[in-house]
Amino acid sequence: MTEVGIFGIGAYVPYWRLDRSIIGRAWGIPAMRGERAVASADEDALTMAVEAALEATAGVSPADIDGVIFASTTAPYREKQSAATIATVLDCRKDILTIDLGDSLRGATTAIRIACDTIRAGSASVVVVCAADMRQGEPESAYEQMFGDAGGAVVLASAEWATGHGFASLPVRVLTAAGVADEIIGPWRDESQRYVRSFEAKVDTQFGYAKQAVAAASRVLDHGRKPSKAVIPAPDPRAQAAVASKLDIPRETLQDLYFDTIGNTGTAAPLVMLAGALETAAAGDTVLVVGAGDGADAILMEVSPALEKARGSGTIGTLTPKIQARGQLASYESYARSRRLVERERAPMWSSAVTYWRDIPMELPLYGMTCRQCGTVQYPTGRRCMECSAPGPHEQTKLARRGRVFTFTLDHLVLGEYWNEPKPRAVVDLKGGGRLFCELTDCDPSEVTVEMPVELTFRCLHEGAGFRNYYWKGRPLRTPGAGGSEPAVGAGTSAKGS
Amino acid sequence: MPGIKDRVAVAGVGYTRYGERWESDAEDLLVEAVDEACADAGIEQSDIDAIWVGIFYPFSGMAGTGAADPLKIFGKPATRVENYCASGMDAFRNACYAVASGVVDVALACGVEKITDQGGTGLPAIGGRGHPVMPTPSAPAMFALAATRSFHVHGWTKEDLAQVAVKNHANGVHHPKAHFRRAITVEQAVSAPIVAWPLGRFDCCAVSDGAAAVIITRPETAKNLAHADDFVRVKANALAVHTAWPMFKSSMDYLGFPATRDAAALAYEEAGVKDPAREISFAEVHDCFTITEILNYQDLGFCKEGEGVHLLREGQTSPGGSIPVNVSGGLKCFGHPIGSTGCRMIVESTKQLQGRADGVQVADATLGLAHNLGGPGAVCSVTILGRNDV
Repeated sequence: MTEVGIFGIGAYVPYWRLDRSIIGRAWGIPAMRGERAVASADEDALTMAVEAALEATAGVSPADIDGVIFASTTAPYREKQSAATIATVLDCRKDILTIDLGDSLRGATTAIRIACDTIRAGSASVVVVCAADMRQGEPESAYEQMFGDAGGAVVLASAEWATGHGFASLPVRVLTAAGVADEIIGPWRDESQRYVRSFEAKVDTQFGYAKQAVAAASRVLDHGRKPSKAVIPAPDPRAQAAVASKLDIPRETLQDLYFDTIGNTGTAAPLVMLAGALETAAAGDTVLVVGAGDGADAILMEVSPALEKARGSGTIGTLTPKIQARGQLASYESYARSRRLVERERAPMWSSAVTYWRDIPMELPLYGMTCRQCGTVQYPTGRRCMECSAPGPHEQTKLARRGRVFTFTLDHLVLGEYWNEPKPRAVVDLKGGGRLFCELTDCDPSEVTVEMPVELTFRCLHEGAGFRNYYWKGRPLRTPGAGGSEPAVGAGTSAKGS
Repeated sequence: MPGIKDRVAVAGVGYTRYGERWESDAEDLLVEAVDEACADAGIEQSDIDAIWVGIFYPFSGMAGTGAADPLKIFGKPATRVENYCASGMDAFRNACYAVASGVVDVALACGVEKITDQGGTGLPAIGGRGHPVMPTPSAPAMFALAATRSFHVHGWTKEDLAQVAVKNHANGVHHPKAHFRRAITVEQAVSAPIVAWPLGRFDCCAVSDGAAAVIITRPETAKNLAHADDFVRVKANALAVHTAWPMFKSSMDYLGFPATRDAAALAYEEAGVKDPAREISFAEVHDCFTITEILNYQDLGFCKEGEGVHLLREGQTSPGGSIPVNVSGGLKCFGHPIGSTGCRMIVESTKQLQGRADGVQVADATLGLAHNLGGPGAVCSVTILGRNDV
């Protein structure tokens, strides 16, 4: 049978954290320990999945990708596929398989099983599985403190493809996978419900989550095999411990839930935790990955010596630096604003679905062009060169997603309204050519400087004309451990030197 | 190109008081300015053969009717000119060319904008245009990009910018038609709330209403009108257009504006000006933001690249300096009713040359320059006017 495994992995954790004590203070209730990750107002499950998928596919030519599967319970659209958008951003071919797996928290592990089977069946060689969630706990509820936002992605490939592309073998081999389907009213949310509801949590943990996770895991561990690393996402640390205990998996084998640092990341959890597990994995390790929700999936993997080499080549993303590089939200109000729990009435943004569609190559996979006469790399694309006016056709050029700030401003005037918190806008010279003018996000405006290194990040700019207008913004290129804190709301005009 | 040097005369000028004209609409403002211009030229409105009106915002009027309707001039050519913030001076250019061609005897160039009716802060947002995801920076933000870069390259500071605001506000005190007639201090300017870093409230021109009008004829006709031989000659007018997207252009240094540099070169050539710093008596330049005025000095050749702040701090651009700039108070004190500003600059410059400035009078002015810049530095119109007797 065709050998399948993980070729690349990526994890994305939004920049902002909310200390749970801030939530506790806001409502006058006990706070759980630690902090949770909070997506920015310009992020959603799709954009977080893109971030993770871009990292996971860093070592893969987009032309080699045969499929993209996106799993989430908080996909931006009820009717419109996110996987097709993600595939376009990744610059995939058109003749590929794209699937959105929704409605179940085990969507990511199910996607991995589907991807493996698809590859084994010979209808694909490389499939990207990505997942992200930004579930909303009701204000004042335990879920509000427990949930965290994140995205994860893995690239699954056949061993044949990997060896054909200069790799000795797959970094992680998938040994076996299995699953169970079961019915219990655990957490749920219907179309009219904004916040996640749940059945009595203790009953769900015992008879839903734990029972199903154990059942699935037992099926791949049935030869008495013990994993050296166990990726067992859970609603909370106690539930995880219960599953481990039933499976007789020692505590030190359990992969961190990241409950204190990120929170329960829903559908993304298995991939986020797997990224964490692979940071320290060594050749010979067996890794159990579980995903639970209306049943459960379990996948058993084995780490090969190729993982070490893959780490060096940039195809294996890490999680820890993203946990460390973070900014602290100053208040519950900041969180409430970014999640639109309180919303200012802003002027509606204008958009055109037709214009957006026509310019997809420059909006999503970020294509610019190179003048065939003077060689200037430029953006946006046009019929004539913006420097020497030479007529086209010019050469389509994929722009780099890193660069430096050439000049910037902190703009308080947004569509005729004065905003206390300015929008940083920067002219960015991209590595390898091309100049982009974009908003900067996920930063304290006062940290922006000329020459500051930035990287481009995929965001939802606005919802003009009723659809999500996705595009790129810049963010400071963070070094691990370097974070900051958000200026208090209303502090407003701070900037270097003021 | 042969150009229009000395072939066109400014025979009369008029303008409204600028400011928050809540009680007036665009019709009131335009009529007020045109009535004053006709009276100044000594003509009847019915003597006007053709109209060019500068209006930028769509709500002010969609066509040449924006002038024909208020004035009730029907059955004659009337054309709306829209060219960003340089709409007013481009209306003037079109009128000049019509007269120079010999087709039109008496032309009206005018501009009007009624911005305060839109409410909001800053310039009104333009809905239903542009691109879904391309950035929509505010006007101050587009010029702040130049300030930030200039700070980085030249070491300029917010205190340097404040010198422009202080100078122009001091000039505006004396002008009866200015929106703001109050002197300010450097401290006030520097500590004002930020609009688009590094530009604060006093670095930005205000949102104001206003209209301005200019009567243009051939010199032979002007001689027989109210000012007789004391009319003003158009020595040059040049318009240069660059990209509306300079922020994407790799060669854009953000230390000045190519449109100004090009328009100035064309205008100097047409007027025969070799050394602008010496030959130009005064200039009304587009100080939409303080940084713009400093960069204008350099782009217009009043000083070398990087020496704009030096020229300013030496007092050379203050009244009594070698080249006084914006003795009217400029956009800083008049605000910027978009379509009108270019025409107002022609009004101010004409009156200076005739020795009847409404505010500070420059002594022995013989050659004046007016500079109107639009968009993110994308469109520039430069006009050079001269006294008839020199």
